[in-house]
Amino acid sequence: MSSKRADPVGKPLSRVDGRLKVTGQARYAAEWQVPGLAHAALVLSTIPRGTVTGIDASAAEISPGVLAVISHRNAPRVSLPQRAKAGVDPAVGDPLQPLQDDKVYYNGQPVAVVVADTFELAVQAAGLVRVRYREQRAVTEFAAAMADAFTPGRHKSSDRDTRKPADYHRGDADKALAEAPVKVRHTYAIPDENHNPMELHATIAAWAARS
Amino acid sequence: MELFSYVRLDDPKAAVKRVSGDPSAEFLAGGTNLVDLMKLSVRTPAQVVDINPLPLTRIEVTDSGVRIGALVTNTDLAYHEAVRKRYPVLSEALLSGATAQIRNMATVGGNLMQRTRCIYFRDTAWACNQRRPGSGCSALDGYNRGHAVLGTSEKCIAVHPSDMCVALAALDAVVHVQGPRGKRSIPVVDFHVAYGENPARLTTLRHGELITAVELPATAFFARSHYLKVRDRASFEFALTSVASALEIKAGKITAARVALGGVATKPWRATAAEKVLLGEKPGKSAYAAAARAALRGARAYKHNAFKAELARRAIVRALTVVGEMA
Repeated sequence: MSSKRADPVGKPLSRVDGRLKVTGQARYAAEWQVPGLAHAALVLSTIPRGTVTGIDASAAEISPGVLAVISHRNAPRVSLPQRAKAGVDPAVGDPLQPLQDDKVYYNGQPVAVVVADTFELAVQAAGLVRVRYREQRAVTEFAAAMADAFTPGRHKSSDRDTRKPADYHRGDADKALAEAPVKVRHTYAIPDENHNPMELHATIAAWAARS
Repeated sequence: MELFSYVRLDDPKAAVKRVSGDPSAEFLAGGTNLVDLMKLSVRTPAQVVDINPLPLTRIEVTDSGVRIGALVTNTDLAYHEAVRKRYPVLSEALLSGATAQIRNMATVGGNLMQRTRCIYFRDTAWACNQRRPGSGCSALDGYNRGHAVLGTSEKCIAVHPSDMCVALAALDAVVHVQGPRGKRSIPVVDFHVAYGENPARLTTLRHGELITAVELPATAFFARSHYLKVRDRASFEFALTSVASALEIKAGKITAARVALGGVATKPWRATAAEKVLLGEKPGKSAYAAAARAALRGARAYKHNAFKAELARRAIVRALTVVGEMA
């Protein structure tokens, strides 16, 4: 099995967008100019788990350039099928439904959105929103949650990939280990690996008349 | 981030006047730290005075040493020929910090003023005596693996983040400043205040005083110096421990020594006790180990950082070994 094409493994490749990115010329989603664009800034939870008991947006609402402060109290309801634990922590394959209730599932969860004439004014006003919480104990260490560990069942998602069973078996690992001439027994703890894309999340919405 | 006004000035006197006359004004140089903290709403100056046009970008080699303008970038300083030859510890410290892109922007004056990377300082949701004096220290009972073991108190256990300042502390550097009532000079070891002592007072600089230069003395044995930095990854990472070291060796005996520590203390930590132990000794492992023990005497560990004292002791021995073997 031989190929005339040069083997690319281990050799540097020029990325098609490499020059644009290192020279700052690449245009990202947030950088498109749309006339009359308003900007949104998020207000994030400062507790890992609990309930929002109050949102004081009075200072933000009178801050310069502010058009709206949106939270679960005044957000339009999202017309998607509700699940027991929908909100902002949906199961894999389920849609995100932000600002639909007062529950906090993680630190840094969006609990309100401020919309203003410019990005800077939106960010400034977002810092003026005061959120009160009833905090619950959060379990943030893997070992501490082990007692409640369970094997997930087959997911009922509409997404094909997430419908596969959680566990996968091939061959007979137990037998192979038992018969192995050399055995190494050790527990390995592997840290989270976060995907860090160069581009941050951004969405632009523009309404245009159909021509 | 909060809204602020911005002005760019090209005269040191005007810049000093502008900032000293406004308690909520800050100088802006490279912006690699201040702008980050403004985005996090950790620092909220109402006025930002950009001093980049000031004529403080020269490195002058004189009979009494080297005078470094406050706006010299980390990159320019690290690669300056006199610095590489006469103060290798400083060049190595600078090049071990941040990334090439950040070093191209960051300045000497800004580096002296940079703030701790303590996660509780950088997140306004937490209590922090540096950010909100009297609110308490969240790191004491929090995740404190990266925190200090020297110069701490129940008020603050944050680590001073700078590499450059550790080298400057070892090199007897002097900071020149200009204020509304004139100029003065502050030895770099007296410039920073240990966070544990007073977390709200980071330096002995007064509001509105402008750093104009840093001066290094023409001490010959500083050519025999080295910076060792130990960290979780090999690049773009702060020190778990670092050592700036220099030795003068004559007729087989140590006649002068400098040891300063980073990554383990609440200010760039000059270890004078370790230096005293080395004086008159034969260069070698037993003298270095004794110096290392002296340097960490009084170290106090917290829940996650007990490893730091031993790591620092070993780093001191290794750094001194490297310096001792230099030609």
